[in-house]
Amino acid sequence: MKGSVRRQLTKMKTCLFILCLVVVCSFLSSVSCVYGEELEEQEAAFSAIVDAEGEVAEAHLAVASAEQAGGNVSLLRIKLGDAGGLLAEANVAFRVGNYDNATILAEECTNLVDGIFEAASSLKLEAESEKLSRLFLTASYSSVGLGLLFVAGLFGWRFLKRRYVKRVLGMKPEVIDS
Amino acid sequence: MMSIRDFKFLYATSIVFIGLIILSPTLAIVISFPGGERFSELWVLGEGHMAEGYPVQVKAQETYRVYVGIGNHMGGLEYYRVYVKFRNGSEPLPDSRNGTPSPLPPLFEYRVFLSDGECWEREVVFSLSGVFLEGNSCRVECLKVDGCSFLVNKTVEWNRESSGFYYQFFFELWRYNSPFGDFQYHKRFVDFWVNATG
Repeated sequence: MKGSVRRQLTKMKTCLFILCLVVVCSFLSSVSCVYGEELEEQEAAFSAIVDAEGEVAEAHLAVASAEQAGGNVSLLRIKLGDAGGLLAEANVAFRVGNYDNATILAEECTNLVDGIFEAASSLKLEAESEKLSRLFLTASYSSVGLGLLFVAGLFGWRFLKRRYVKRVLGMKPEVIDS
Repeated sequence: MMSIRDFKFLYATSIVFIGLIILSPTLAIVISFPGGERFSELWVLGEGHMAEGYPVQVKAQETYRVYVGIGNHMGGLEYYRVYVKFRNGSEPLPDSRNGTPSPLPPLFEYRVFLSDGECWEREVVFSLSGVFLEGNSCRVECLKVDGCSFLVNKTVEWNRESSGFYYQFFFELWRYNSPFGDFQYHKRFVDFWVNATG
């Protein structure tokens, strides 16, 4: 009788131990799973932010050079401003540990910036060609003007020289017979 | 009367002068003259957009506002970042002598694109929460800036001179440096002190 009770007790102990082991293992695995998930989310957010940073910086350079070339970049600048705002929000969300939101915001930023580089590059080309044609036109007018000035200058010089000589000769003392 | 040589010189000079006037539109396109001094402005204003009326006596859970602004005089489109930082009196500020930023981590940030001559100003709403006055020290647990909460956990000792528990908000200006390919501290920061009154 005693032996069977002891055997049952040992069985129960083994079962309890196994149960505890299972509980601990499942707890550990769920913790590691959650931690792993969070780590994954963090990595995803980080890489989305890095991508967005690069895209925004590239777009900024393109818009800046288009503006310098004389292109009208006001619309692109508004887009850039919005993208910058989203990127700042993504960084703040990342800092407070809201990785999902950070990823979403960074991706939104990347989508918003998408196409700005191309638009800015074409604006720059447009502005440069416009500037070149304006330069060509102005240089042509200037060349014609300079040519006319040169010709007029030569004729003018002849005319003024003749007048000058006449005036000088007019000042020449007359010889009077005594 | 003027000699023929002087007259010729005067005539040639006036022709050259007129020539330059005719050429000036072309020269204006080709030659770009250097602009004035290049710099950026950074400011923080109190309520009413004035350099006064900054929130000093700050109660927990109450919202306060200041205005932070940037002015661009750098000669082209600039990409700025403003970091909002919070410190107790003993933590380091940016080093004005060496032009280095404060090593404290930023809490909030703004990113702004400004063309030459443009300005930007933004309202910054903040509040403190979890303010614990423990004898001679005060601990601020949480800071809210523009709706975002940050755990700061900063303790400050009683300031005998100013009679208060003083914390400092400061804004650092960073500028995107294209050749460097990253933001660089633009050697400018503005600040204001708040007395956490619990």
